[in-house]
Amino acid sequence: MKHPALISFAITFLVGLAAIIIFPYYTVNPGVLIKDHLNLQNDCFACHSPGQGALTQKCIECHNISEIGLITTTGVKRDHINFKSSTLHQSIIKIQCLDCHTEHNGLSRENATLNFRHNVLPEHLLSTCEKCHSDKKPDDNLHKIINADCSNCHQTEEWERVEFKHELIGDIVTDCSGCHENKKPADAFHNGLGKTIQCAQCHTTEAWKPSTFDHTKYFRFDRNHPSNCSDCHNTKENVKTYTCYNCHEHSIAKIEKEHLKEGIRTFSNCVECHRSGDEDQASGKGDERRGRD
Amino acid sequence: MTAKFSIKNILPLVLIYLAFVAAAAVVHLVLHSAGQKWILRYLGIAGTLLILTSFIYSLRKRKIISFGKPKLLLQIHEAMAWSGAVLILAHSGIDFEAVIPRAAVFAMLIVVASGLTGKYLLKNARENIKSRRSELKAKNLSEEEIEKELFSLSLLADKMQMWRGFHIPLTVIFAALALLHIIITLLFWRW
Repeated sequence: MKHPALISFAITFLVGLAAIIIFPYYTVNPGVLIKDHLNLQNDCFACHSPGQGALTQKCIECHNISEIGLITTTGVKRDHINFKSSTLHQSIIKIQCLDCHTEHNGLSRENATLNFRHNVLPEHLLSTCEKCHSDKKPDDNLHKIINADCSNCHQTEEWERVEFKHELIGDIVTDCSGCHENKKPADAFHNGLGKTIQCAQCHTTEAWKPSTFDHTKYFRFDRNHPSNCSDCHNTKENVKTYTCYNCHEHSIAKIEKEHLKEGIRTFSNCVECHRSGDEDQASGKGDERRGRD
Repeated sequence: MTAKFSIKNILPLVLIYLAFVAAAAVVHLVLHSAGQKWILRYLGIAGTLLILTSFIYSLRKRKIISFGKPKLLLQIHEAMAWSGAVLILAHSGIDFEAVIPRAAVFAMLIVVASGLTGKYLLKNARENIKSRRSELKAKNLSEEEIEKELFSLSLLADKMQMWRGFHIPLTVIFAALALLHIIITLLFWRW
């Protein structure tokens, strides 16, 4: 044999070519067609054009866009009209079938739309998710009270990444515990706030932390008066109550003596006049009282 | 000339073959998991070009071209063919259905094994003629001339000739199947 390599090549190539011509589906197809296209499995050129792949023109020879979802490719009116498919196909223009559809991915029709991306939709459909996904709205309490479109919080490409907007739930936005029942911190401060205090009095939905609570409005901390809650709030059940008589400087007898000397007889609520540890910064209420006295 | 069976010579080649399969699997899995599956399609083109370039050695050996040292070109042939085969195996993945590309990959796997067998035979042959080095040295030949002589002799070994009788037809079978796959892809794919 003078040219064994050439002969091996020629035989393999010709046998392969013959196999392709006789059994195209088994020799060259990259994957199983969907069930509805199985009748085309040995007719590659039913969908493909040489050098151009599967062109839209070939698809719409069978799939008339205006009839998709309404009438089958054989011209029979559908028993169950597919509004979703119909609305979708009649709303999108200027794109190729293969931008959303694919083939050779298995028998399931689901696999044939794996390339679909919502960005092909016109704006009016992108903001009305329920037109296509009316059955997908969750049945939980939160979604029951929201009437706004899904797109206000969800994104089509990453549905789980939610940017929830509290204003969508309307007036009940101040009833935090309605949704966040178990979220109240179990620390002494929050436990001591009492049941009448609402989260929204200190927190906002725009930024939960930091809270708007400002202790300096009641009393300013300093080196001798650190922010150790239990120093003043010795009743854990209610931080609205406090006492200044817990240290050696503020004994009842001493405080009473100093205030009576100034003519102040009502001094049980210290922070009413003393908003800091600096006694010279006491507000004028004591003077007013002294004047009355 | 007798070629002695040697585990010491075979083991590295078995490891090279396993590394070939493992490297292809790693490339495939990394691109799959990174969501860059589309790159795999083009690895087939890159792998084919690498393998085609590696045939400069064959052209040199058949004196179609005259530049380059055959020994160096053989090393380049081995390295580029191995790398190209890795890319093609990664390109083929595990989810191809059709018979032609499947047969092409199967042929390529055999060709790579055959190439490594040739490497083993060549190494053995060269070891067997080592003893002749001293003989050539005694003739006062330069180191370069001795290397050239030994290399030429190893290629002329009978077993190498017999091996070529398998390796080259296997390679052209792979080439024919790969060419069919390329033609079909050019015909049906949307570029």
